[in-house]
Amino acid sequence: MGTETYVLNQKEAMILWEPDNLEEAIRKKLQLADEAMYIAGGTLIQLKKEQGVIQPEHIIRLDHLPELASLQMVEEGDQVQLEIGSLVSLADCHSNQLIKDNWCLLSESALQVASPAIRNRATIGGNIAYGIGDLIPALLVLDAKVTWVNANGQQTGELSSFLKKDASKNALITMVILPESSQATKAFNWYHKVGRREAFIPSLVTAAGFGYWNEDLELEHIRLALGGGASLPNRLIECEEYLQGKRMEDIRLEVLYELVLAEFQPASDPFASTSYKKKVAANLLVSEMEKLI
Amino acid sequence: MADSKKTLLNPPIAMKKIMITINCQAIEEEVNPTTRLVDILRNHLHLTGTKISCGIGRCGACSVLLDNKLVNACMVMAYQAEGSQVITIEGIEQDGLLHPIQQAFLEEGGFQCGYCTPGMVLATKALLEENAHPDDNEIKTALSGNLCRCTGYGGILRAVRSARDRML
Amino acid sequence: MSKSKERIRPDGRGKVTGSLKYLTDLTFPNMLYAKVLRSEYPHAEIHSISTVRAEKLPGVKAVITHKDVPGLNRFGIVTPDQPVLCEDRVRYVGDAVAAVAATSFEIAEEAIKLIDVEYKPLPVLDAPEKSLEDGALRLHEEGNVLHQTGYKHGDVGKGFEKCTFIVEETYHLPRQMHTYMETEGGVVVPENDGSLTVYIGTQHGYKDRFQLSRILNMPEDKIRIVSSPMGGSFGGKDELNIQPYATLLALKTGVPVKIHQTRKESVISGIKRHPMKITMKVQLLHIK
Ligand SMILES: Cc1cc2nc3c(=O)[nH]c(=O)nc-3n(C[C@H](O)[C@H](O)[C@H](O)COP(=O)(O)OP(=O)(O)OC[C@H]3O[C@@H](n4cnc5c(N)ncnc54)[C@H](O)[C@@H]3O)c2cc1C
Ligand code: FES
Ligand code: FES
Repeated sequence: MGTETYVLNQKEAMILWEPDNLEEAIRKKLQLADEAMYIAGGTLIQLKKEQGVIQPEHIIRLDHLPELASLQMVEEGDQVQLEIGSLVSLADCHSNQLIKDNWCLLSESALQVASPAIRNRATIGGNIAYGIGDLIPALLVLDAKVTWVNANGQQTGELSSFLKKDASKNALITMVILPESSQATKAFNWYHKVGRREAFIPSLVTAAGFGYWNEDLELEHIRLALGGGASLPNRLIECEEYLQGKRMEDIRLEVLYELVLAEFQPASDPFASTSYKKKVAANLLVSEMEKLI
Repeated sequence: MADSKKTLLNPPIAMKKIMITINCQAIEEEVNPTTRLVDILRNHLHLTGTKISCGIGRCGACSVLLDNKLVNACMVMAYQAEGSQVITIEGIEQDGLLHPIQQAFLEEGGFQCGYCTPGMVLATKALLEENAHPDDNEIKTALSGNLCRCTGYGGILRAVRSARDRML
Repeated sequence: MSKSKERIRPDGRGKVTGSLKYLTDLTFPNMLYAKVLRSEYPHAEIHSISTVRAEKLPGVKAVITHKDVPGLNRFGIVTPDQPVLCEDRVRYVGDAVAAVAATSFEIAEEAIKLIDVEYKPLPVLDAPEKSLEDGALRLHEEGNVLHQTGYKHGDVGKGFEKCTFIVEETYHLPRQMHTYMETEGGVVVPENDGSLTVYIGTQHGYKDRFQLSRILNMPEDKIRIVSSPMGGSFGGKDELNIQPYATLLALKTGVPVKIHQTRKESVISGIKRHPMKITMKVQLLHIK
């Protein structure tokens, strides 16, 4: 036997950091940058690992930090808002009574992710950091904000811009903020996830809508968002603009249909083409609007 | 020490000692950051009632209760279970008697090859502890993460309904 | 006693309590853990295989290649034409090239990556039509047709003349995977008297014994197969799967060797129902 020996591949032996507090977690991440990743529930990380995706060698644990686990109503000026710590599990996002009563879209969307056992581990922060999580369309139409910490310190901003900007690089998501829910009587909302079977399946198209009419039956507020597959979920700004302020009888569904087809640009995947997804999205959205008018 | 709380694994197979309570017994285990809870159960402790099938959280064969919540033991890293209470299929018999859920599966024929059965039993336990009167829809949702390739689920649904009724 | 209680299965208690030991649940003293290196390419020539680096990894107890197969390096219940361990050619990504026994699955897995195989990729024949083209590479010495059969009854031509409707179509069926919940695996134990006990789930204990005897060049009465309990099969554990590797490694090391494929390994290497293209002409004689 030669003198040369080999040890287990360094790259795959993970190095685990267990910071005591947020500051330490962030410091470690900024120091290691791309060589490290945070771990919350670990469900996505473990899935990717088994699939053979190469992941950073260092992992920084968040799941034992109590400051990320709270869920509370907070007064902000003359408004109240819900602050959801990034570690709150999807099971809790689904079953929490405050969320159920006031932000039912979040509750509904959480139920559409994976299975009960996964939802007990998976976190809301992890779902957002995933970039294509099924919660995102629901959070977008609820005008959710996120609070995160990166090299520039702590910031709070719209979820939509957080998803797009470089902000998410090295960022630690600490909190998701839901502004006071509308008390409008003529409010509506819906959430659909379309997959290849009814439950426990990755999404082909995920769609959410939220809005309300004013007393003159004009659409005073409208939010539409679509995601699904590997596509980054997005608000449908042009569709919203078309609908905004319109009276019921002035909404032309065939126009809306074409607008959805034009605005939604999902990536194709081995199971469904771009045009199929566009069609599903347009059908969903238009049939939901049709129910209202 | 600046980096005091590190658990390290460099060079590779460095270990960390953790304490877990498994089926009411305190256990001390040496783990590394890639050790999963299922590895401890099956390979270290030979608690092989917890099965492994997909390894990616898709089938529920490895279902256990972690602090009374249903989880996939293939998705939980050992260090994440530190200080927790784990209940496996080996831990639910009561004084040597079958748990009513096990009895229901046995009598209703809620299994064939039996490979999915421990996971099904634990998913049922998690369900009935949270909701004593589940309807069929709630049962289906609760078991949606547990795959069975043999039965077609008819016997399993029968068993869960029967367990619900006998536990009232 | 209720009706259902009368029908309680004798194996039921072990199944609902988890106490029943499936063969992949077994552990023996001094047991080693094995992994199989599968082809990187769907079709390629093998120019060289070097196991030197793998053998040097601490914890590795044996590495085998085709050179370690004492008997027939082929398997197949009907036509033994699949290599146990490929010599100079791989024909699909599940083809086995080498296998390692080590003191843990992790080390075996790492050792697999240290086996250096030089391949020269060949054109891929992924449809029967391609394989039948003139000049298509021969997959086996006997050519590319595995089996041909025919059956005739009556005068078909005359029959067709009489019919009102004729439907002629070509139907495509996809590949199907049995997806048994328990992936392939078990333990092979070399006994003191030189015999082998093979604790690996299978549908055909006797056929496994026959095929292993042919591969190992060992009398059948020295091989005992324990085939159950088994976590599903559905026809998918008809043929040998990992039995040859665990037996070869157990013989080489003299200690029990366990294999339990991960789901990914199972999907890559497990036996599937092949896809089909069926062309059919159907006649309808009379419609009321
Ligand atoms: C079987 C299975 C099915 C699934 N099905 C679905 C599904 O239907 N829909 C869906 O949306 N997802 C699905 N997922 C993906 C995933 O489980 C969820 O998106 C989950 O919410 C991720 O949360 P986590 O806490 O487990 O994330 P982790 O695995 O811990 O982390 C995921 C990523 O987010 C980063 N991260 C985690 N927390 C933070 C934070 N606070 N700040 C910054 N970065 C962070 C991590 O670094 C990592 O890159 C599935 C996963 C599995 C295993
Ligand atoms: S083995 Fe854990 S969920 Fe399938
Ligand atoms: S009984 Fe075989 S998988 Fe469920």
